[in-house]
Amino acid sequence: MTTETHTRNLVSGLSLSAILNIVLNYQLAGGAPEYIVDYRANQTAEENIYYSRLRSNITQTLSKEGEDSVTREVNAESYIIMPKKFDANQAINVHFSEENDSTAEVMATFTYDGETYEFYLGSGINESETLNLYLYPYCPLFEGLDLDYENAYTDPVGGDDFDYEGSFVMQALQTEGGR
Amino acid sequence: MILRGSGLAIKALLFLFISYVYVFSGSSTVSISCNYYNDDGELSEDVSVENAGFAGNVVILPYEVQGFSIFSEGKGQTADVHSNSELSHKISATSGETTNELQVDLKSENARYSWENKGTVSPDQADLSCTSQGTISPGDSGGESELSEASSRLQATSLGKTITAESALRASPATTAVASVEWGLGAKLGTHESMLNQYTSIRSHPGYLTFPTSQQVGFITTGMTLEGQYAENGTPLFTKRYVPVPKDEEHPEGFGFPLTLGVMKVEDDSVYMENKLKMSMKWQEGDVETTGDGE
Repeated sequence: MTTETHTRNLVSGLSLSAILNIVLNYQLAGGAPEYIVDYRANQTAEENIYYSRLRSNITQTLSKEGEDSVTREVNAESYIIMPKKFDANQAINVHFSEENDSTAEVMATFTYDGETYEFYLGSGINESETLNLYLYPYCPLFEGLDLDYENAYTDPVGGDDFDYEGSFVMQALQTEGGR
Repeated sequence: MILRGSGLAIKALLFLFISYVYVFSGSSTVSISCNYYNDDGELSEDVSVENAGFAGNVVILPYEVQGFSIFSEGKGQTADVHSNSELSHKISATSGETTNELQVDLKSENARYSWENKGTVSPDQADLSCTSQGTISPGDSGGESELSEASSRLQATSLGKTITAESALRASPATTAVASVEWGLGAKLGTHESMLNQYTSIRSHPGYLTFPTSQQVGFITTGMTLEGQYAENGTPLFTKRYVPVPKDEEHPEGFGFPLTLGVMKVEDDSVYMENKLKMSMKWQEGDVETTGDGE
């Protein structure tokens, strides 16, 4: 049995981005009883970020003596962009085996305004699979969720004879006729 | 009747003599200083431009007509947006015990700005007003820099207080493909109340979303500050203000200064993000503080 695990955990300030391109080549001698590769990429944002992206491009070629080689490809991506800070855990899991149960999945646990949401995309792997989990304001996956897409920082100062106000507002908007 | 008619004729003649227009621009620095006064008050201007144009006109009357006896207005703008451009303008107006003063410095490269100002003097007013707007333009390989850069500094002294507002912006050449960027400032200085404001607006094109990131990977970096002090003794009105609000002892939940944005394409072509930075200040005449804190 061959088992490989790739795990990457990143935590940073305002934005996270991890893009991994992986090529796996296996040449199995005749009589190998079993073949399994599990690939897992994980990104945890615990510091209130505005953007997080995790992407893996995996190409696997399996060659056996006396048989045509088999190439399987998985392109999986998860990204989140929001106008207010969020916490998130994103994961890409890919399971390759000789049997017909090879699978790929993208998962995200997303905490926004004190509420936690979970998202999942999964598929079996034939020759190639593409899984994209995109989370941003007004995206179809957020329909029906009560999310506030405006974030404002204000900084007022006043006295008897003056008033000052500073503000910074980030706001997600939609053009007329948008979804 | 004859005497009165002669008086009007003389006054009309005076009007014709002291109303004039001036226009200048240049790639090298060009400057002009003017001083206008009559029995009601005084208005002074110092203008300096580099790779920018400026035009103005001044009317001086021997008496108040339609609310003024001295009136000045001017307009300036960048000439070649891909070269370094600077406009510096100082204008002051005095009537009786009231003196208002504006000083603006605008700079840009691969960006454009415009500038307008007005000054009005009458027996009971010494009003000044100004507005400025700007946008960025992509750099080309022929210039010294491909970055778009712009900065402004506006200082207003009025009603016993001096307010200084500054802003700066730096954008990569690719910014205009994914976002529109505008900024501006304005001020109105009067005899009872004065105000000042500045803003920067960064709006992504539909189908792109912005997100705060580090300066190393961002498209656009911007921020603005404002300081206020009593003109008589320099005592601060409050601690220096920033937008976005920095993280410090006063603002433990602050955003962080300056703002740097990244931009990313998303699936939905109808969504976009707007980032608005604003500062506004309004003030009146007040007692001079000695403690130095109005918060």
